[in-house]
Amino acid sequence: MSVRRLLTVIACSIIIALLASSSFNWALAQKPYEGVRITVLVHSGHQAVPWYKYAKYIKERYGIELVVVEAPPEELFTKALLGIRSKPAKYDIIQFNSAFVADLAPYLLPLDDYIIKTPGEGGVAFGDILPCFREYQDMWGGKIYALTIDGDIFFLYYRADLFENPIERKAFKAKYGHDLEPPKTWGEFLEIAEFFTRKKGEKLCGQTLQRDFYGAAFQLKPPRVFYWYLFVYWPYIAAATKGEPHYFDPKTMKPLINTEAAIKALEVLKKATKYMPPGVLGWEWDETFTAFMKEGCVAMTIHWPDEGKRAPELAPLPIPNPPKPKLGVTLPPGVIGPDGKLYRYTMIDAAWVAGIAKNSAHPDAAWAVLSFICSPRWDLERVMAPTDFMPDTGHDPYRYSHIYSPRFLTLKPWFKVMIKAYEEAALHGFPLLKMPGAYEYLEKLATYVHAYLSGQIPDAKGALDKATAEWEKITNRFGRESQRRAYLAMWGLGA
Amino acid sequence: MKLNESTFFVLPAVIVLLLVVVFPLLYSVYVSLYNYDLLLPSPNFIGLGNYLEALGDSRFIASLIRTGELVIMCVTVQYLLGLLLALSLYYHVGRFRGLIVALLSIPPMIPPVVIGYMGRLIFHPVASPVNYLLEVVHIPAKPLWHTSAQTSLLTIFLLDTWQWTPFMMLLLLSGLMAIPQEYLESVRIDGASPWQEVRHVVLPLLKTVSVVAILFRALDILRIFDIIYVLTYGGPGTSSEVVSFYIYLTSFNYWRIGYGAALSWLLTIILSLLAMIYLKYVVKSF
Repeated sequence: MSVRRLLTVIACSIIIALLASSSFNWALAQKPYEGVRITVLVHSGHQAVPWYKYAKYIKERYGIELVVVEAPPEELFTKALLGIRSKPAKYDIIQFNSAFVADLAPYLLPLDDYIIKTPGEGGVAFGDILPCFREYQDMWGGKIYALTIDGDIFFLYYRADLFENPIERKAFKAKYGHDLEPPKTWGEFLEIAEFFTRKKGEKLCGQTLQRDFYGAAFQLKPPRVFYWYLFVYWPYIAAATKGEPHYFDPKTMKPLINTEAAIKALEVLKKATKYMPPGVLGWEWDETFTAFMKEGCVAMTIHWPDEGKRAPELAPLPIPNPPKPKLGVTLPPGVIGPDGKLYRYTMIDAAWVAGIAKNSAHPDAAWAVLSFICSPRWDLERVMAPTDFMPDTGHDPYRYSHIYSPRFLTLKPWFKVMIKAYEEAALHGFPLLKMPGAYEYLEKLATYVHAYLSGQIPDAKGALDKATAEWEKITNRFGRESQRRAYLAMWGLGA
Repeated sequence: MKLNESTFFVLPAVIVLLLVVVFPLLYSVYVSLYNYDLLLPSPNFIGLGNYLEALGDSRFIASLIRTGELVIMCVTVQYLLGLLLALSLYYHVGRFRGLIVALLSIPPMIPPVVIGYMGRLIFHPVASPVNYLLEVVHIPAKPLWHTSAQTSLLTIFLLDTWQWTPFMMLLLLSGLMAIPQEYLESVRIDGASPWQEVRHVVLPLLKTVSVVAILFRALDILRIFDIIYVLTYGGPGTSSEVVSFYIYLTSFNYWRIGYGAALSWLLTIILSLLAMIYLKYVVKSF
């Protein structure tokens, strides 16, 4: 080989080596976690869909291999708790119900620093999340432990086609002396429910009803009956305390669920059941959704965002020539306090969030995955589902950029009816209990509320006194002072 | 003790049994002596604390009584119906017996969760086919079935009876088929009426099968869970909360594993005592 040829070969080799090394560095820069495996524990079924869907994109962008472990909701907490306690954590990321944040927080990585360090592209735009979800789902004790996956919140749905009918409006005004409008107070709710409860053969909108029609329907099967009690409880407690609704007295941790206002709230709920379909005490999601949306035999309900997302499915009224079905959405009713103010709330459900295990072997890579899944660009796809791109996920909107998204509103134009309600809910959201033993507190409340509604316990006070006694037992078991600190932390007042 | 070759053959099975049966049992006794709560930082030894708490737990006691009521109702009715069916099939149905037995064997094969969901449809307070039938036969009552505190346990009883009476019938029919024909022929020759034949020959010879069938069903009903979980979730209020469901709530919803273990052991002790009494006195006098 000539010297010239040798020099050429060496020069080429150097150039190739340089190119290879730079492209390697480029690749590394583009895929900073090449070869890292991140395990995520998620709710099984449709909630797991986006994790599988995005695994490919995460691999392409970060080089991370995403391992998805599914668990049914009833096993999720136990698996998550045991999995993130171990060192290193069995799961880098866990999906969990935010009601359990107090129990999981010691083993979760606070995300505040990550959120601050990752602005703009690649970040999660935390400020874009509606305040009610930010504060009551993602934060605990003033720190961010999770990011919202599913924006579960409640609205009052009503049959706008019925409320706008001139015959019904006239009859209502003649009977109650004021206009028929979506109820702002529980008193108005009871009036409207009573007004619209009619038997088959009676008139509705001037036509003969083909089946029984009911003023309202709630999902009152235990254990979730407590939700519908709390919708009445908060405004009554708020009115009695001049806008300071609580579950416990924050100073003594004495339960407030058997106060005069709480008893009144339970009596109102029982009165409302008179205008609901028979057997409503055994109703779950399906029965409530079916009666309101598919059978069209109920005037009002309080439910999750599903009805709004599926508004075109609203069935016509059960009369021979029904008007075009029209859904109305507003906040659940409130109570006017002695100060003349209207106290009105809706529930920020302790819905699904995701956090990173403190003991994760790869916290930065876990953050890369979580921030990808929860970035405004990609989570919009999740909440718009089902679409051509994404099968149904069951995830509801939770960002300003979701509810105002031109894409979302073009794809599902009927969702516009929800925007105002979301804006109001963002400001009037009330958190579900989030502290150690939260589920036990609420389940025991549900048991005695249901016992009263079903007549097993004859008086509201007796039922709530029993629930209070159970709450005191739970508080004492966990320790009154530590529960007090946890309760304050739930309100962002520091653990 | 002399160890021979056969000991080594048996040893793996014994080890597996120790691991999967004996260890969990002993561990549950150990756990029941601690305030082992998944939501509390570290469990402490509390001796018989959980057991003493259970004895004062009115909800546990009420669920035990409710379970007892359900067992008595279900076992009695299912045994009598099962016996009637078995006798009818044995004496009156010849050619189609196989077909009928095959058809009646379907309900016990359906998973209880499915039965629970079926129950929600069959006993739906608005669109219930059962209420429709009541209307057809001019019975004005429209029960709310599982959604009423007064009828929730009755609904569970009806569903359980629908599902498990054929099982009782199958066991009793197999017992009937095993009765030697000579016994029956000889009492017939002696001029016994059909009732006398059943009363004095068939029933005494069914004693062993009956004992087993009743014990099987009683133990099974004591563990009833799926139907209640799907249909009533123990409600309305606590009207259909049976002991197995309460133990589930305590252990896996309130995460009080230690207390749940203590409740389970108390139930086991009570059941063992009842089984002993049953076998010693009831069966003896049969």
